[in-house]
Amino acid sequence: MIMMDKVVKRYNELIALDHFSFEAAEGEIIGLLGPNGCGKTTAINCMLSLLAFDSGDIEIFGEKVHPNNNSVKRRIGLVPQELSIFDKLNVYENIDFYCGLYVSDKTKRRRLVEEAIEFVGMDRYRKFIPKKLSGGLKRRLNIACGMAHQPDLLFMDEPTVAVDAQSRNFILEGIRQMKARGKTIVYTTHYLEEAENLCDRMVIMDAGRNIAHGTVEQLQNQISTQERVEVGVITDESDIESQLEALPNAVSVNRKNDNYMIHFEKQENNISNLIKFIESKDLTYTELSSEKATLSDIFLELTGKELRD
Amino acid sequence: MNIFRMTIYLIIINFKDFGYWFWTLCYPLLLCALFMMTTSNMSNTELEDINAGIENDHPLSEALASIEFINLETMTEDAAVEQMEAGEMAAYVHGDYELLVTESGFNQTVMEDVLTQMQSTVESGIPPQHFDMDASFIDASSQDTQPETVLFYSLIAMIAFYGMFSSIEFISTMQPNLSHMGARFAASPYSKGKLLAASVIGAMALNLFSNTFILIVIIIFYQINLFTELWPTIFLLITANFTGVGFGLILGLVPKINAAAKTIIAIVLIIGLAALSGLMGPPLKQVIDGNLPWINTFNPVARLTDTMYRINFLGNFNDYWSTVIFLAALALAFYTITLVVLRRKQYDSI
Ligand SMILES: Nc1ncnc2c1ncn2[C@@H]1O[C@H](COP(=O)(O)OP(=O)(O)OP(=O)(O)O)[C@@H](O)[C@H]1O
Ligand SMILES: [Mg+2]
Repeated sequence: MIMMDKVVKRYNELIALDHFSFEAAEGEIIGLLGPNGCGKTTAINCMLSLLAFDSGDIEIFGEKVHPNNNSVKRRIGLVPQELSIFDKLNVYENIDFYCGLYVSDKTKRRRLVEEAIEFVGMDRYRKFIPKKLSGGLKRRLNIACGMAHQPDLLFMDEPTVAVDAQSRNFILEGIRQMKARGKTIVYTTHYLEEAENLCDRMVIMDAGRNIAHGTVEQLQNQISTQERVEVGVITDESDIESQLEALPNAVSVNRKNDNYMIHFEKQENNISNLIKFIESKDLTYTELSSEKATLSDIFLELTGKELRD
Repeated sequence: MNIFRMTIYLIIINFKDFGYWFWTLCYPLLLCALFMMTTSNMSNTELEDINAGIENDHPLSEALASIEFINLETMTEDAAVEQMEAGEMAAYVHGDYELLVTESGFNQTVMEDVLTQMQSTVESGIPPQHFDMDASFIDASSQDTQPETVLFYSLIAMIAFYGMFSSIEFISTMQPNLSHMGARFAASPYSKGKLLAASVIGAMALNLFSNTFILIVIIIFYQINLFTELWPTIFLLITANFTGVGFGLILGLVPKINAAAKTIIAIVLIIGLAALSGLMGPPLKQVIDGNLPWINTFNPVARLTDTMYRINFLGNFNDYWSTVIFLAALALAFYTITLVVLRRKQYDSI
């Protein structure tokens, strides 16, 4: 469906895409994750052939992308990161305008616009101009404008920023429905949880490179931390950290007051080993919790950066 | 979406914009009011007759003498030059429709137009004594605000080009490197030719609307009859609108400058061109025409002002078509460039 092969894009000195490769199969939701400035938007703009790139190949629907390739463009939708709605047009008109760039038949367009309004739950606001909409509603309008023509392939560049939890779930549900209808979605986000729940596969980007990709399980297997255990112990022993680090499978220990975060490389009796250790020392623990490695651990380990929500 | 629908959307986008109302309606009306105030004291004074000299036994003597606003005196060339240098006489007619002048100004222009008019009548086979001076010059001679009228033609010429404010806006909005909507638009398969056509139709519709409004205000409110040749003038103004819109498109394409700054550039440029064509009063125009005539040959506002003045005021159509062609050629050049640039669809940076 999408094949991006070793694409290099430079902005003068800055390399925004560094031999970036990426593939998406038909009917999947694929997440592009990465810190600010890692090149997500640039990658999307190259795929849309809005930006000229220095080298590499991009194919969509089996055809090389090209600014004049209207048969490909007709099947693509874009929800841009920046709001691209007209201040002077109301909600209905904005959606109709963008839908009209793809669909010329009037009756069909009317139906599509109505469906899009429903999709983002904006029926009450159809006559509102953007100035009268809240930030989140504007984003929802932006989404409606991008997908109203129901493209086979939809690029969504951080569509849910500033949208409240309820509308976000509404939108995410809508995206799942689109997938169920066989649409392909390329999704960028800073919300790791959202990506984890929504995306079939993920590509983790850093500094313009594809540093890891696959399903959440596949990504988990690529990093050393498999389990994270947080334990609270009160003790005078100063070398407790190094003792914890000596536990089987333990990779690292971080201390936060009386709490210790222990990273284990395998998920194998780690909790019971820890409890045995604490009991052998005649200590008690105030709290104990365990988590499987999350996307943010994957992120931290692969990029050395924290990706904040 | 067809061109019509696109045009409607572009018009809505602009029509609700403060800039459109201010620059194409309020601002010209303010200028109008200003002119009326500054020229109201002049407008009541009778136009002074033009003093002119003519060679002895010249075939045009009789015809020229019959024109009400020309005081004709028969004299030698030397005497004429002397009087002209003393500022007592405007021009001297001699030879074969030749006009001798020592300076250039409004009266000289009128004399030149009269002669040209006579020449073309004679060439069409009517002897000079017989041609109908009333038809051509009666309006002119009854006008009592001749030099000031140029001001209004100049103002009208200026606003005829104001379609560019809308086209600057349209094209800036639809350029990927200038606006988010533009990037979104470029990702769609919508034809650039259709967009261009819709922008031109939309911008012209908006500007013709405001032009009509201003003309009606001028005619009704100030009781000035500027258009004795209504249809040719309308055609001329539509052509100028076409050129103005094209110029706006070109300006709209320039990267790195936002639409607001472009609007300012356009206003300054047009007011400059209008000043050269007489907007700031006839003296500047006379200086330019006398010393740097080529400037106004290529100044569309001046061409339009002069042609409107000539056809309506002097009944002289000599340069009508050359002005129409000049304006249309400029417009076509602008549109061609715009289409070529719009078709260049990829950007190094957006
Ligand atoms: N027009 C431009 N000119 C120069 N540099 C640019 C331009 N656009 C982006 N960049 C740079 O290219 C890099 C990638 O930018 P891009 O917008 O693709 O990042 P992103 O992953 O979308 O970030 P974010 O999460 O903040 O949206 C950044 O370092 C950015 O500063
Ligand atoms: Mg981005």
